[in-house]
Amino acid sequence: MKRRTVLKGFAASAGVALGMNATYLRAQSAPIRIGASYALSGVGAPVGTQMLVGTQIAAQQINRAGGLLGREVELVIRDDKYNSAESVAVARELAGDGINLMLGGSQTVTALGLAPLAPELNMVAIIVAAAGMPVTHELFNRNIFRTTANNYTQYGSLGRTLIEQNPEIKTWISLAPDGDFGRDSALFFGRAVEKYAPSGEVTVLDTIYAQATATDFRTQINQLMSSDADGLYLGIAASAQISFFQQARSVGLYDKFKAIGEVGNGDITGKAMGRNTHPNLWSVCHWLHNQEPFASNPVSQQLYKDYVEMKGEDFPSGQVAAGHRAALALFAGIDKAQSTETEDVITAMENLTFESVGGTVRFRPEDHQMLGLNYYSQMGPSTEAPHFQFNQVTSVDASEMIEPANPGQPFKIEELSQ
Amino acid sequence: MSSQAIFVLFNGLASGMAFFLVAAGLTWVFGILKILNLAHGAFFMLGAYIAFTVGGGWPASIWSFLGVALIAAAAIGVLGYLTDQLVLKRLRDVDYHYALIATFGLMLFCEGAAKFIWGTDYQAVMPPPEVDRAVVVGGSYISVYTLFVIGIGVSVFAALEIIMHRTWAGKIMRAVSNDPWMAGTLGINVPMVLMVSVIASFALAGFAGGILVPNQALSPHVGASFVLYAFMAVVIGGLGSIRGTFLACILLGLVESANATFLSQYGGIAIYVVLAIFLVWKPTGLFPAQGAT
Repeated sequence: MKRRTVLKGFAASAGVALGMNATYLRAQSAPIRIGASYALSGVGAPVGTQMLVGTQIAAQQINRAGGLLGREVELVIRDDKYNSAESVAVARELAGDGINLMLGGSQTVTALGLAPLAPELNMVAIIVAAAGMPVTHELFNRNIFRTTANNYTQYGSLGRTLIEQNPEIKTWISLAPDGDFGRDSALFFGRAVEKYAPSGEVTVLDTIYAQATATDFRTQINQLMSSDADGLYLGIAASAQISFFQQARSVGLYDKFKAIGEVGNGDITGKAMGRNTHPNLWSVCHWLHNQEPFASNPVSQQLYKDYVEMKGEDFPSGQVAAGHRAALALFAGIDKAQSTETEDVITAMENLTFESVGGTVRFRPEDHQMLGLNYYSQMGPSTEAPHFQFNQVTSVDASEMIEPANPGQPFKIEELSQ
Repeated sequence: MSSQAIFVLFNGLASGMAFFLVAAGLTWVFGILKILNLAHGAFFMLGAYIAFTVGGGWPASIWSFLGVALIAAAAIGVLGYLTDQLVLKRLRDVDYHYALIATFGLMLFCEGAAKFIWGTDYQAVMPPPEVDRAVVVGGSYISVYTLFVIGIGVSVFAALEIIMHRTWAGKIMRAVSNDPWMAGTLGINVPMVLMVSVIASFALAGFAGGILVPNQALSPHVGASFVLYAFMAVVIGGLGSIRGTFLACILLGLVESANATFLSQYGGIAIYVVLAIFLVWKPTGLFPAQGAT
């Protein structure tokens, strides 16, 4: 072999080795790219945009602390348009772009599209806030993790909270949207009221139904006013709920119903109704930065500080915490796994415990359902701006209110013991 | 009369008059310009926002509430003038498809402007104190505010009837509506009549927004809930007929109320059945315009 040929061979080998090493180094120092798919337009946008803010703050916080595995976190943000088909298209696009970690499913409608797709795309999909039962039942697969309470836990806990806080109310009724969610949430609420009534003597009347997007509730209000109930679960959400309160208040419904539990509008209703807020209105609560236990929680304090810095507003929506919590779960999983590979992260997250704005939370290994404390806030009118205020926050441990894990099988409430 | 029947009657009339307050301007502008203004609901929404901005969420009295509604009507009337000069005037001699597209674009523009100015947070306006209570009639709880809306709806209809059928101005408008060329040859200032009609119909939308805002959560989409029923009423009543629209609104209101009370499991269906029946039975409406086929 000629000396020149040997030298060429050495040079080529060195070049290949150096090139490979450079690629390796780049891969190790390149950002960890995480998909963030929320409803940023359409009717889900008021919720989705707030959740995205929470996720962005979580990414800022982790990057400020040096990143994950020594690498920066980069969010790849997409709009699922509150649409199942679009959530599928977004997930496929992200996977095609080499992304295997994503946050999505900010509402059940998008989660139902995303969840079954995760194994095929070899993705870890964090279901941020979809509470529909199928996600951890018939649609369950190992690649998805839900970071919010399911409907059974959420509305059962709301019912329990309402009856424990208002034991003097003996007759309850629900007004719910005529659909799967409305029927289920009213059923779960009513069952919990019956189960946790301190005296055991409580009556839950038949649910009254309305269209989810109805604008005229006078017929239903007349039925409620004519009933014997003095406690109400209101499953109508968004602007329809505010229209309901506008129409109901005038005919004296506030005097008749001593307590109302609503589906989750929270401060949205308070801001709109102001001094005309029902005096004993209970709501699903994701986060209230100035109320205990959130006020003294360091994760909550930092989230609030960063929110004010980012948005320049001092009254964040509770939905911000949902997006923040979901991101923290994924970051903690990657950190525990010391890897971004799908299988490693899944294995790490199955027994993961991490801190959120509402305290310590963990995943149930069997169905990847998050467990922790669920919070419920009570609000009423105030004489000072913004003319409504939160008076108290209570909590219910999700592990006391959750159905047994049954991944792969539909949820059937009739199979649960009373 | 049973308690339920009483409730259906009052609730139906209240809904019908709410529909009419929105539909009156819609049918007026169609009658005279032959343009179906898809942006009518958006101007209704702007009227509601203007009333909220001027009067706040808690009206001090029924007089200030009515005054604010009139201010909203005037403001939307001015917007009507601008819209006529910038958009509608250019559509008078073109195919009606262009008018539909243009007014649809106008609707999107108005909703975008409302989001930009007032944001997307929901707002709520309460009825004035004099009507912010209920009366119990035959065991049914009837909001006094809904009785107030019935009164306003009937008053607006009576005023329009008098204007259109008992005044020279109304007769001129009807003449222009029936045959603008002939009206012009007789010395009537047709462009002026058309402009005044547009302003009046927009002002009606603004007035409806100011009167009906205590009934609904205020958002940039608030117009959609009313304008759908208004379009149905205009079709059933006969395009351009205020009298027909009034009767159609009462019919739709009663049907909707009966549907919600007696067939609540099939909520919202009956009104579409009625619309389908009318489209088959009387496709030109209850009071068809001259030459309608």
